[in-house]
Amino acid sequence: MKKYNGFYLMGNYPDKETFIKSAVEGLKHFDFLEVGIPFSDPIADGETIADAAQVLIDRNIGFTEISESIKEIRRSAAPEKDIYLMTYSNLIYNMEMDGFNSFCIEQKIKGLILPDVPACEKDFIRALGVDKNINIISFITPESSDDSIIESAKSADSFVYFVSMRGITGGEFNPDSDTMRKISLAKENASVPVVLGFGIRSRRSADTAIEIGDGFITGTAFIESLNSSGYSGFKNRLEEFFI
Amino acid sequence: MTAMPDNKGYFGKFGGRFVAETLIKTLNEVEEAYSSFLKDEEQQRKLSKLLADYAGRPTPLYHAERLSEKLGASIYMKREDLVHTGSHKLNNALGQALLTKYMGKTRVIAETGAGQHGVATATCAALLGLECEVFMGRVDTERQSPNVKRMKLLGAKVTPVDSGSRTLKDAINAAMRDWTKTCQDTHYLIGSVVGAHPFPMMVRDFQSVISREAKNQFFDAEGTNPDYVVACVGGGSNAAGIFAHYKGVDGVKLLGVEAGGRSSKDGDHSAKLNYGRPGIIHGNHTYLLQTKEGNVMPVHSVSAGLDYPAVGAEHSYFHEAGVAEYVTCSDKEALNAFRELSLTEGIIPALESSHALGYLIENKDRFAGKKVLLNLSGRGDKDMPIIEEELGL
Repeated sequence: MKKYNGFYLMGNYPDKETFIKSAVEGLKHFDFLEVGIPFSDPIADGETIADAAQVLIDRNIGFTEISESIKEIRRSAAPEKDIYLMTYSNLIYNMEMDGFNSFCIEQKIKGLILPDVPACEKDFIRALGVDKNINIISFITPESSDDSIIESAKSADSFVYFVSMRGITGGEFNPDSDTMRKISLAKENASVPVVLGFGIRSRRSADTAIEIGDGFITGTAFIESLNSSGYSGFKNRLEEFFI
Repeated sequence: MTAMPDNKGYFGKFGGRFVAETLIKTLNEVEEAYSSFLKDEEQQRKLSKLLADYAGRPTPLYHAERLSEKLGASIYMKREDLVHTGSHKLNNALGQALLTKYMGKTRVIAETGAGQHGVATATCAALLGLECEVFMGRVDTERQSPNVKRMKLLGAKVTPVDSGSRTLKDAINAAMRDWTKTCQDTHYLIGSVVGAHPFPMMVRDFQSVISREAKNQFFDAEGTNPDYVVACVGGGSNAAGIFAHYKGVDGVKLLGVEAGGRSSKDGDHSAKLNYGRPGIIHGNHTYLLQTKEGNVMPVHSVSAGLDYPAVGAEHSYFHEAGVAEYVTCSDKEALNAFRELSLTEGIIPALESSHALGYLIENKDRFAGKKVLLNLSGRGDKDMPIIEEELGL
């Protein structure tokens, strides 16, 4: 399986320009970008990403503003790179669906990553009118049973998001032997890449993820770098992963 | 009573399981364990015995004669304020704490707003030898400080939550984050009829003891059912408990009273069924106070236990299906009722329960000549810091 690595940035954070510049630069190395749309009660996120979301909400920045930035990123990034939206179900629930679908199709948004939508509620979200060409990404976790891993892996579109640890974003990546076995089981049954996310913040953990999975996703580490030293911090962190 | 929710946890279109995939296996385990717990005679005996000998059930049904005379109605109060720890919250905490042991887990976590559920959980943890951590918004730790001290005395770790609005919703977020990490050995002892399936059903069932008793007691006293059953609604657990055995009973009108706060303007109240619209929060599809985009709005109530932007999914269903009617009572009306009950009946009610009473007092014409059952869900000792400030005692 070709490796499929992704990075997460919160849309328009810390500001529109830095976000766009970081996204375009990151996409020179990564295969896909996850754009976070801020939600007030992000229960799957740790403090770093939750605080970034709150900063944007306090500035009244949401999907409307971020969608303009995505258009700019699309114009500059290589066309084969993928973009996903990462947010919570209530923002999708409240979207004006026709406009949202048109935007996603025009900008080639590959899918939605919704951490509060498990497999059993995917149909509810689909029934809101999300276009069939926009995938709703499947999660597999160390807690998933073998049966549900096989089912999710077989039916997954785009990629399988393997949540590599119990807990929230920003924790430590350290898969135990049972998790390693479940990653293998997912890989055996999926026709799309099995990508590991949550807790991957260094070159070392990324290398491990690439070895045992089909790729990695990193996010909190970039937000921390943006917080401490803006774009140059992001660039340095990016180089750590790829140079 | 058990017809809802369906097997996916939906009450009509409300409910569900909008949580991280990581928690699905745990929720399935809780659902299965709860189902066998209900059939396990020994467990049920233990629960009944604790409810009687430890919690002090059945609680009395009290006919408030002086208040009835003043309002021109016949008012009965289900005295949940007399349950050990001072509110109805113990009914559910005892049930879920026993379930925690039954599942072989060693730690409970809980969210709390007014602190009543935190105290009830800490109490049960002490009783059954469980480790306990309670998440409480920083604002609430300050306005309900007596309860923070009680929880600590009972051996619980109280973790103040500094994110978001630093109230009940943020305490739930913090507890859910903790649970995603610790679900292997920890049970999240949710205190209201909110959250992902099976919690709204389970908490309702544990609280339904309120109306199981009240229905017989009322009948014994009056030879008939009440015309109105009234309860305050934050997340909605005490209302779910007192509505449970009256749902669909001819001639009984169910009234849920939401916190009307300072005004009906956004951010000034916590009245989601009156002023909100459906959304998805804390694991369920339900009514919510939210912005156009879907971010959760700041809410307000003088009562910490009602200061919550969403409501249990079953209440959303009741609201749309017309099973119950949901009205509001302002901060001022609730404070007035707080004083009124203290002076007229010698009962200091919780500020939460004062909302149910406040609606009754403000709308006495509606209840003229009627028989009313009011759920006095808690006692007001914990509210003294707020009362000192608001009523200038």
